[in-house]
Amino acid sequence: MNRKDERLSVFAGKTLAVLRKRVTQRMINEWAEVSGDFNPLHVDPEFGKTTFFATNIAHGPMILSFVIESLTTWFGRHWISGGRLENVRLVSPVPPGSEVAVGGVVTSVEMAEGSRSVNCEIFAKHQDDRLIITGNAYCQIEG
Amino acid sequence: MSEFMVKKPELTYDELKPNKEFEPYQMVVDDTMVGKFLATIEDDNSIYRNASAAKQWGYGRALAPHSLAAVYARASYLKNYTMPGGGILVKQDFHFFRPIQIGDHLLCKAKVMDRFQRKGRKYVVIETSTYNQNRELVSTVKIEAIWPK
Repeated sequence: MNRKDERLSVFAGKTLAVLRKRVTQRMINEWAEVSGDFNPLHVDPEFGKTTFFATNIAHGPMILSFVIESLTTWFGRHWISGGRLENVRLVSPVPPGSEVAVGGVVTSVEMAEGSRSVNCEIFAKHQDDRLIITGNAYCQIEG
Repeated sequence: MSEFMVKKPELTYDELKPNKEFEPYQMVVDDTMVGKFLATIEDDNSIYRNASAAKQWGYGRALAPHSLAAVYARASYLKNYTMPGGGILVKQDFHFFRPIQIGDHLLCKAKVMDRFQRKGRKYVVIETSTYNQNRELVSTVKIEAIWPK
């Protein structure tokens, strides 16, 4: 994106392009390294089998990082300087091998003093449509 | 990150009194760390790879992803502690005020905003405010978690 085409087309009801990621054990192990969260529920598949989930699962903040990646792609510099992500809830766990789809829909656009205030509902879902993350995103777009 | 491997005491609910402030956590945002982070989450946005892409968005230096907040916010209250097993993140809020750029020195200050018990469970609310080397506010991150101990 260059500065000439930053006037994003946003309107209530617009769906945001879906980002898909395959969560692997490699990813989970590397997230443990960068975050310092070595909880065996994440990094030890054998331990995971003994838990309520019957499997090890990805770190929730790692899945959340996919949502932030999507919002950066959708809204560019408008997101980087002024984006808000609120009421984010982790709804279901993500075992390694899962495919995650991150998307969203614009719920309203309010005009105010030369800028547009864009409100979105965002989600991350499993392949079978079960929700992983829900939340609301807000972004101010100039022009 | 070796700092995480040091033996530290568990951070328990009893210690998490409202208004408790944690020792600030510092993070240097360098190419190596950001490259490893991006490889982990398979984020290939070009604005993190070179300064010229970032310049197209009006920034002078290459950017780092705001998703780093998911790492530094946790580290901001666990610098001198370990997290007891069994905690559950209930809700999170993020506000990004300005970009993080390669070469930035971040200072993350965490504070306990609230704690309460509901239906026999212990809840804690912690807010982390992160500043760059110019003392400009980069982000705030608020978490509400069920604390296990």
